[in-house]
Amino acid sequence: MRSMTPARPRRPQVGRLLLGQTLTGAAVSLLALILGGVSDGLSAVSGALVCLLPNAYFAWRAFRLRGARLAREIMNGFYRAEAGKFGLTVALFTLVFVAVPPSNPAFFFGAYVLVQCVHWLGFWLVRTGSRT
Amino acid sequence: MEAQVLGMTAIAVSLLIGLGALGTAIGFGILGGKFLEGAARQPEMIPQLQVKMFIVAGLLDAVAMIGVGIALFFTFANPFVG
Repeated sequence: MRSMTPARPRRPQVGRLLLGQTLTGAAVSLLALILGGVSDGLSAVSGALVCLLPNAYFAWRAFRLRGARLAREIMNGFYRAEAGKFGLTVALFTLVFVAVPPSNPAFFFGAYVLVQCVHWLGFWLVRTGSRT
Repeated sequence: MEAQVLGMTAIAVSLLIGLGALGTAIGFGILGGKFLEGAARQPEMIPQLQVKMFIVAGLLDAVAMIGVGIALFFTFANPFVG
């Protein structure tokens, strides 16, 4: 029998999405390490990090404000988070291509795209709602 | 010949980044408008709407971000120039 306690808001489990992206990046990097060696593994790690760091910034920035009265501020926070994510992605890509050029662009972009695609599983990974 | 390839690559890169940013901006504008509309109708739903907006925002800019990556790859390590 279900208890009749009032609904309590629960923190969104956005961390699970980031964890899924981290695990995907680690799996691709491991595959690259096995198939191509250390330099290819490092290419895959850098690709995964270029995707993961801006996403983590976006999640942190987007969920800084919470509350029913702050709709407009939440919206502005999302706009700033998206602009920051875009800028951070461009900066990290530039940094990687200038400072540590990937030895294998296929693994670099493969890791980047696969980690980015974990977002498509977001509705399964992030559960919202209230505990009843 | 190489200068022509470089020029065309620069145009392609600017189109990739610019159109990607434009699409993301339009999508985000629509998303934000709908969020505010939903928040005004049902303020108690704001936490759920916030999470759903986060997920949809990730879907929205995924392809644009991949385009940015390819554009910067063409900029810094152009595969069309020998």
